[in-house]
Amino acid sequence: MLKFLGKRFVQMIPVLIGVTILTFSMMLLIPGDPAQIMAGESASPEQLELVRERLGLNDPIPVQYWDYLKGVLTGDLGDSIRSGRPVAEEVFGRLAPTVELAFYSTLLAVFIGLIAGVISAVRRYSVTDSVIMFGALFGLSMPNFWLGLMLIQWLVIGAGWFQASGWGTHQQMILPVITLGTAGSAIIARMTRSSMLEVIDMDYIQTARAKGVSERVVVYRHALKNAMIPVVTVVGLQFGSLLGGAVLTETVFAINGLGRLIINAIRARDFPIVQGGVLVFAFLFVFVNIIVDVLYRFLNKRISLN
Amino acid sequence: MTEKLLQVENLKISFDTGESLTEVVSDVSFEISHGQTLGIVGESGSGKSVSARSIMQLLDKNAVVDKRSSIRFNGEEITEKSEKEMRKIRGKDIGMIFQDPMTSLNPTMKIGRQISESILIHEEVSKKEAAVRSKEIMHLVGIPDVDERYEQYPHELSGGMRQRIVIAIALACSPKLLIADEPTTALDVTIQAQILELLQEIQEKTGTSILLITHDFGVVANMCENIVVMNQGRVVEAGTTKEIFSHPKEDYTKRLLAAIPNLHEEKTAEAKAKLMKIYSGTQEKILEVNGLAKHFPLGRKATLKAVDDISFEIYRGETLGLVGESGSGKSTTGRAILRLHEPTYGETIFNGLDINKFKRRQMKNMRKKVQFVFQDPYSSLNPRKKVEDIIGEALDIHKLAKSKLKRKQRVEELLDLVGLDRSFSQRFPHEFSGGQRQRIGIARALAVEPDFIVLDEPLSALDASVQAQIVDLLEDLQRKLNLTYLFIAHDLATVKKISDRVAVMYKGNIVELSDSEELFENPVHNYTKKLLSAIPVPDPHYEATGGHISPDEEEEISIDGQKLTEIRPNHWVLQ
Repeated sequence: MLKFLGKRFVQMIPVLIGVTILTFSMMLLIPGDPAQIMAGESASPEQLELVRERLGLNDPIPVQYWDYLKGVLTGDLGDSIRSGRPVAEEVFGRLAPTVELAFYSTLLAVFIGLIAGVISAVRRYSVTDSVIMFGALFGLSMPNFWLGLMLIQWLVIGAGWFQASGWGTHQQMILPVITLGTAGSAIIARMTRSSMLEVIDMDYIQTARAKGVSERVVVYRHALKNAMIPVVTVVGLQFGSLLGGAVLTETVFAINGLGRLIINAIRARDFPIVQGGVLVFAFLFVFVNIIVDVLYRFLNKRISLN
Repeated sequence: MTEKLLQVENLKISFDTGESLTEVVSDVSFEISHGQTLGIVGESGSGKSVSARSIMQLLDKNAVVDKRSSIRFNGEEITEKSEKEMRKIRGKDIGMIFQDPMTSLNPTMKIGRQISESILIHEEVSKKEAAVRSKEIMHLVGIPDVDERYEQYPHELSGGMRQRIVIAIALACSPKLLIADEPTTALDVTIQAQILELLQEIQEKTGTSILLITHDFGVVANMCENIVVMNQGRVVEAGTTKEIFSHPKEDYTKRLLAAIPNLHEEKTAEAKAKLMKIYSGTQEKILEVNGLAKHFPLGRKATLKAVDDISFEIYRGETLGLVGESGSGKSTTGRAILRLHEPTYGETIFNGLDINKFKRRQMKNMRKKVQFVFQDPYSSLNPRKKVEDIIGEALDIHKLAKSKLKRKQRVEELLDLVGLDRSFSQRFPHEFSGGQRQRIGIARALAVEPDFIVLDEPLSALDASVQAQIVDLLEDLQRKLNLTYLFIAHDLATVKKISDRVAVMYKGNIVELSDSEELFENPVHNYTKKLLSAIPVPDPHYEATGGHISPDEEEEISIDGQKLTEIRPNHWVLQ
């Protein structure tokens, strides 16, 4: 187990280096001169030169990257243009609500998706199955910001049950989690259904039935665990898109998370913040997929942890 | 009259296809007494498996059992029982063994738990007791190192071991009846012999009745007191095993019995003459394999030597049989010769040139001369192409048809040649039976007029009577077109019939090579002997004389550092 984890972390290094190269290139790809953007439209050539020197923009690109990488390793992601505060401080200060939002949404998606998928599979071609699958298609096709707006319209403005801004209390958290988790639960439900249908036709399910095992135990003890193997992979990838979705959801529900920080930073052309935010997102995604890998191997006995 | 353990009367089962009912089992009746073994023999589609599953009430949801059908088990009517009542019978009074041990065990559950689960459902015992009982049963079915195996997962065991576990699950609660649905079909012949022996032993020890379902007359001959022969959902003939083997009444039974290859059949004069020509050196050598090897890397350090330095020759017009069990390297050899797998080293000299040195262009020309027929006629034909295009594609690749009309004519010729109707050219593969598909596969191989064809287990997916037809077709084509075959199979009996000479493969090496009569009558290598003694003899009077092979004694036959030596004229043995 430890050996496997160690190996995975080593394999993570090139991925993370790739991520830093991409985020670093963002600076080079910005239309216009980064120094100009940072110094402002009205800066004099002397001021511009000063900014360039300070940012190391006059160095060759590999040297610039090396400096950037050193910064990343020591936790120095530069300073925000707008606030002047260190990017690391700003980004990590906003990280908690985003991670919580993504985490609870994943939980919700897995919970609803699994139950719906299993019911659908067990009652295949029934009315229940059709209703669930229609619901899943609906949930999948609905843009989550629109769902968020509708929920606000009905349950905040209409019924007044929830709050539409901020993060921390149940009243604030439930709607964003539903908004973000819906698409995921739809995908997981569909995946679980098809995976269950495949497994339920396997010979070992017949073996279990021939033992006299009840249908409920057949489904939950024998089939579900095997059906989960492909689903777990989807959940991991889903978490990544949830991080992306968080950007929209946080904006709709006015949550002070990383997503909103990045959106505001883009508007204000505060590129160090965008760069830092994207880097942290990418790191999170890689990390979550390691967890998924471990889980996958735990479920799939045919792949040993070493 | 004492009550029978199982009495099936007028069993009638239909499948609801949504529009109509298709009857798959009609008026089937049979019975089993306590401690007896009944064999149901039939080819695919005979309704034998469906009949067996109906005893457990484990049919698919769209299956409809006719109301007048009666299944009496242990004095009770099964067809009237509810699902809940059935659950108490399944696993407790009736145990079931399935065909493929690779798929019939839950891959994510420990072996021990899969056995003890059954005990815990049916009997009020503690988990600890259930574990002790499970281990006893594992011991009974001949599993070594029980404590260790108990904690393992199915993928950690070999096929034969897994089938023993499947049997252990079925036996967990000492059932009165054991239903074995093709229990050895997916296994190698030496493992098959062990499993059949195990079933007999268990019956002696526990007195359970066995319902054995199989397509193989060889399997039933020594296992069963009585036989029911089924065809297309009906009972064709029933009686004691001796009666049916010695005096079959129905034509269908006679045909099935005739389709069993006879290991002691003498060669025809024609075949003997061919062999003489080969041995006297007057027959042209078509293919010479020199020190061919194919190694697959397994991770960073280990390599799998699937084929390890083999040499042999094939002469024009002959059939060389290549026999071995799964993992012996026989299929890899066939593929390495045609460079479908690039050989690791060695020479393959075809018509005087080493094809392993060929460039792409030369290889393409070469493929006109050599062809391949695959094992599975279901997956080797593109389901979205018409037969005409499946066969015609080879003509297109090598630009052998000058016009559309010529192409069509050639395809029809080929269909004639393999005994199929010309009108089939406009149909799709799914419209055909396994045997017809294999004929299409052969027609495709013949399209480019090859000299040499590698046949990789071309019969193993087919029913016995169909197998015999394909063998006849292959022999006929060989005579007409002067073809040369490399015939790869795990089934010794068919190889004997079709081959002029036979090579036996074991662990990537040829361990014995001779003409088929000599090899079957005077086997020398221990592995060849083991293979031959494991073949079930389709004769109820025959008493198995082979020594008992338990998995503990499953000794590895060492072949390290040995060389193929000619011990008698034209009889080569690795020693």
